[in-house]
Amino acid sequence: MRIHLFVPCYVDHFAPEVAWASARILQRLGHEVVVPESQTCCGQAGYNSGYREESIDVATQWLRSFSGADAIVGTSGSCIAFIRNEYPEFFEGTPYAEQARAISSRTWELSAFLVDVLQVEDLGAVYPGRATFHDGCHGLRQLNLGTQARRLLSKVRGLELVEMDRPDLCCGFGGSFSIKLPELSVAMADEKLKKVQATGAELVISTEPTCLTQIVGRARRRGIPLRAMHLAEVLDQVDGEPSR
Amino acid sequence: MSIRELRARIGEALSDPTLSLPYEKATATARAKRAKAALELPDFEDQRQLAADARRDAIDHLESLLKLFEKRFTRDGGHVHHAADTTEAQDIVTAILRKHGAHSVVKAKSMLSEEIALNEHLIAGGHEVYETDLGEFIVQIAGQRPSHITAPALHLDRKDIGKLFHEKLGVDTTEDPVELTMVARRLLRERFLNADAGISGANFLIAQTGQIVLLENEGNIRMCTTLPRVHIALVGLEKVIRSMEDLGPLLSVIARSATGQKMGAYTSILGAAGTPQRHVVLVDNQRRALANHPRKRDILTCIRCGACLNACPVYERIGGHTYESAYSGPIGALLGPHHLGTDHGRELPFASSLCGACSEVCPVKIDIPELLRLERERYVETGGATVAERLAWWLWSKVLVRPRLYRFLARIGRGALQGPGIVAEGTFALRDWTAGRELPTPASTSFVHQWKRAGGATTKEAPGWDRTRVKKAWEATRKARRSWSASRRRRKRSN
Repeated sequence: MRIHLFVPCYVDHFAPEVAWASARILQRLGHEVVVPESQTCCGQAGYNSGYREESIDVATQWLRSFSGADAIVGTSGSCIAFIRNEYPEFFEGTPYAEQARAISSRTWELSAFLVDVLQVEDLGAVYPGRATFHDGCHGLRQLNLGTQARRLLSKVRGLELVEMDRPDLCCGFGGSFSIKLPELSVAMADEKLKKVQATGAELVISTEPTCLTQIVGRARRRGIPLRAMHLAEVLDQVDGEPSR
Repeated sequence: MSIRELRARIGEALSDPTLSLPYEKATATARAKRAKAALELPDFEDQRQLAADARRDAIDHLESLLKLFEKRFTRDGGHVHHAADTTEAQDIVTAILRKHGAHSVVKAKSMLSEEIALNEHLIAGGHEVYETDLGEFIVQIAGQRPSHITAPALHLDRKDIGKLFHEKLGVDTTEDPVELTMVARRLLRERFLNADAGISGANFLIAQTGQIVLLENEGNIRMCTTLPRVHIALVGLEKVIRSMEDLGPLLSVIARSATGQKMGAYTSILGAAGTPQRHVVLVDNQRRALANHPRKRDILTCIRCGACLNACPVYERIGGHTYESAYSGPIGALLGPHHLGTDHGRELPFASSLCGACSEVCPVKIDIPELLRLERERYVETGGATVAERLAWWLWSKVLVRPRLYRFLARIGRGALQGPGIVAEGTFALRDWTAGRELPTPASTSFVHQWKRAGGATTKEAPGWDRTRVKKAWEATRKARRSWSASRRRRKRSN
């Protein structure tokens, strides 16, 4: 299958290794990966901040960049939820309505694509250690993600997954919320960290890159030893190393 | 009020490390009980859908159902009053009390009475007003306001209450909940017997039968609505439902969602016939305006169970009082901008990470995050946002549709962030991030660039796309929506 890789803006500039890992995983499974070079951002950030018109412009750029794709895979449950659930309504009544509907149903978050579409669970990954999993809110509640990632992780050799209390508790990131009400956002991160620390794990895994930034950004400030890995990075591990 | 002031208020709440403790404890218990209660009912999800449908049907036919209720209720000897706003509602209640020569008033729990600050008004008018719900009783003698829709004294623990009772009621200090309850009970018993009037809220009004539905656990509502010679039910006009059949699913979900009970201890369904004389005061206070909005009308389907508060990670951190509104939590943040219970709630929709935990448990399936987002849009459209913020998002929309410019600027931005901390500390948005968190290190080159350099396959954007066409079409649908809701309003007025 020819798969268009959607690289969320945050991943593009701050966590390219997550996109690399996703691309390698898909290639190892025998698929062709292409990257639309004109992609910028899905537009969610502005939309959730109350700037719908501005967001529509940005969403149009996204739709244009991915037009004609058979399957689109991305590494953020939040961005994908936005595309899948909001785009059809966004473009309703516009010349691109049909395209938006078609494309949104062909856009997948990585873990859902692997488990639900490709029906693969064991990627042969090896990663010894103890970890806990954080559910990103939008992926969990708008795309019903969570079980797919856990199934994939259960097949990673050597990995011991310890569930935290309230894995579905928001980390407090919330896009522009994190800079509009930073003290509140940080207090929520602290609450999340409490749950993470209680598991004894020093590694937190998620399908949501920005949640990880929030959680680990706060942990580092407080001097708490905690590492974060995106699900894709874990699945790409062979003998404790990215596959390359 | 502005977001800046909201931030200051939240900062104050967070600076008290003990403030969140009772909220954490109480909401954790409520969440666990609700989850268990929902599982116990095999068709809970079906009941939830039926409840949501019943409430939406009621809001769709609001005026005709209100008329029907009034007809049935007055037929049986009751009185129905219409209050357009807070002042009218206060005046109507005062007039009824005056007419009956009622001085002493016992009150059952009513969030609407908080919304219209009824107690303050009546006390200023020389009435004795006694809250009889245990939580409300505690909050009243503490001189505070409820911190939760269904558990008004949630922010106080038994130690606080023991101290409070000792100070205000002169009883021996105790922390024993049973003893404390008995203190309140003895006092309240006297007040019930001596009261001239009882004021309650209402959970629902059944249009077809002309009845008031009241749910409770303590029995005080029964006392308030039967002992005094006049009963006034203060009701938001959205509380009407069509029929007894519709009440079924609503009863199935409301107590389960609120407290994890199958049913509250007492369910009262009161008609107007017999004694005491019953008055229903239907309060609008912006509710009709909300009912006319094609999407925000969903806010009116709320049955005030408080499940969204219990689920909310923000409410748990900052507590109910920080909202400075009669209604707190996610639903309070939706009601605030419409001035239900507060006159400065425009900023409240920003007190949410839009995580969606609220709508997950809402028994009538209100899409709270989506509605919060709509309120944010309105905040921006009506000039709430700063010029700098508007400019930033305008630039965002201009740059992100020009991939080459975007990549060029992103490269500069990443470089700047890798430099000395001056950028992070000096730029206001980043400063707000770095005050409590480390900034992630940006990549030296973007993934897309790395991919191309490594010889990965790429695609180019489809030619010939026209953003202005999208915008024009979108503008047209927006206009159509506006005129649709305007014509709806006109139709309703002419009815």
